[in-house]
Amino acid sequence: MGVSDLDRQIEQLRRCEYIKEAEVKALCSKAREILVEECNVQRVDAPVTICGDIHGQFYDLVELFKVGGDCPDTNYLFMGDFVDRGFYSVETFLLLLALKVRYPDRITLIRGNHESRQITQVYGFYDECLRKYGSVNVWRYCTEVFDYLALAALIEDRIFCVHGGLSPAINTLDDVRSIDRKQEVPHEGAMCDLMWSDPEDLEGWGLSPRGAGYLFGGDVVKGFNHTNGIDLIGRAHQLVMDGYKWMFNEALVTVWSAPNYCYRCGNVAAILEFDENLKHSFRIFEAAPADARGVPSRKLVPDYFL
Amino acid sequence: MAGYGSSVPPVEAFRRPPEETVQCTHLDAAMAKASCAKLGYFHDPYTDQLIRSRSTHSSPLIHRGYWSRVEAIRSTVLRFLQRAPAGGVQVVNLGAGFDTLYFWLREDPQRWREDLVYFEVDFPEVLSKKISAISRRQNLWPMLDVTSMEELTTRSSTGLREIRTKHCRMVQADMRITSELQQAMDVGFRPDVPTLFIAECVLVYMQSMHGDGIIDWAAKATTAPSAMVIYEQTNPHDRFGKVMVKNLAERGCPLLSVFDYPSMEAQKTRFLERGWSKCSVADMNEIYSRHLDQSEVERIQKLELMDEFEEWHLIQGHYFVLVASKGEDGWVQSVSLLEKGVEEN
Repeated sequence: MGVSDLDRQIEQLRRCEYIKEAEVKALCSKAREILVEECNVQRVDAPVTICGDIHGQFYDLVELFKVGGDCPDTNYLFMGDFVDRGFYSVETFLLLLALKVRYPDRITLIRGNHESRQITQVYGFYDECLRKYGSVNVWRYCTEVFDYLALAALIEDRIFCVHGGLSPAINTLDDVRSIDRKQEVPHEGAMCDLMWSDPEDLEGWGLSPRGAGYLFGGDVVKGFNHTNGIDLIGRAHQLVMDGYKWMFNEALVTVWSAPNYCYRCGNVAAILEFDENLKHSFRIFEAAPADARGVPSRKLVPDYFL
Repeated sequence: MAGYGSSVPPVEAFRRPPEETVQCTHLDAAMAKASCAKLGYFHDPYTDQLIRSRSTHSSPLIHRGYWSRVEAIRSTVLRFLQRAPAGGVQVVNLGAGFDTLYFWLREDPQRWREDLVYFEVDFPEVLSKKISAISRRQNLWPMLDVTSMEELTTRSSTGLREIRTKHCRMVQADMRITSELQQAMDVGFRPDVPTLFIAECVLVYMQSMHGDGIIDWAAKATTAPSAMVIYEQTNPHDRFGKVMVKNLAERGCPLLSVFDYPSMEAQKTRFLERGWSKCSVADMNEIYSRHLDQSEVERIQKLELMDEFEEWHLIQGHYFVLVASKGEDGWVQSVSLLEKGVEEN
């Protein structure tokens, strides 16, 4: 697969046109070669722009790139949940993956709880692959890539980024590094918790209403940051109406990058930029205007109780 | 349930709502409920039979939300039926769509009362589909106390098929016209027995004057202690609410009265000013966490992995259940959904 092929595929995907099954297969194979070399805790240099959940909202990802700058001009870190819920998980994930293969040092992708065989069969990505390609091969290629995605990222040794949060089975970054990540997301344990846990205003640990991962309090975050010499935990995973939310005296920040989530929630989205001195600034953006996203069929109108 | 999408009075200009709008809501609701039943959220083998097993793929959030709504309504109905004294009792399901509450009550002697007469009212377009479906399902006929088509259906004065069996009356009316509603009930409705009126996602799709008329009519329809339970959308002004209003309008079922009664407090006042003496209301987050049987909540939470928590609380905060009652009797006042210390008038 040459650079010119890749550039053509990127152009095609940027127009929200999906690429051929054979091309997906080659792209995924190339991506695995790159990702297998990455650490569980992938090191990232500043300046970098970190992004939260995208969930197949392709036209809003296009808005994100308008606001944050194109890849490779901007160095990106996406904290997982690329697929499910939205109408364009295929195009969204493949565009991010093609950018990763084309510019491996300018975009980092870490795994979210939706990058999973089980979850994508409930929340849309599986059905979308089947609908768009007539078979589940593309879903299979993509889920094989999911197993290779890094679990976390570390920006300049100071900012720890993960999709969900912390785990009682993890004290140090080396604990994360020692996980054998090349597998489906387990139902419990350290790897599962990193993708499923949520911060909460409580002391210590709590049971998560999600049925996976834990709730963790400010004291846990303080201890983790101190132990590992970091200033901040960046994470995604939870919808926040203003696009971002600080907690625990700015020891943790949630970043959410899917505006009007599920075409239903009315929230704005954010990305978080760190400059070379790790000074931060948020950029807020709204959902792409309706005329930019085409008209979804009636069947795709968001659900309510009628 | 059925949606009543016309936009402006006077009524005569739009006596019939657009067919597809009515369909869009009652069929969607039925399909989601059938999907819930299939997954074991609640027992309901009937909805699936009425809609000819269309396949659907609802999300866990949608299942959980429909479950909480069905449970809230069912538990209110049961409380009413268990507490109303012997000697006749009625349920009137307004805009019933493909609802199967009658069959659910009938299938279990613990729930059923021999002195119950159950009424369903809906637009002729909806009713004729439901009656066709029931006609095809002979296995349901014994629950309607009939053995033949001749016994099952009766022609109304306008020539439409209705069901008027011993315990079940399914009749058609444009409920926006109170006189038509009153006339439709002229199939054995008794003003002198306790009656529970149900309106699930019905009033909100009407102009407020029409919903007001129904609330007022229901309060005056009986002289006996009675109650009314509604479930519908609220809070159109916050960010989620604005998108909800827009999405539902685009879907062809606009929330025509949501801005006139934009809060639970406004809904409460609406009922208290129209003949109802007690009124309690709570949003679906509150209902789910405080009023539904928590062992059941635990059971259904295990049925599917749900990863939609923030959204779940948002959407449930935009639906409410209201229970209004009239009459001095303690039993009817105690039917209030909210026995656990939520404010009441």
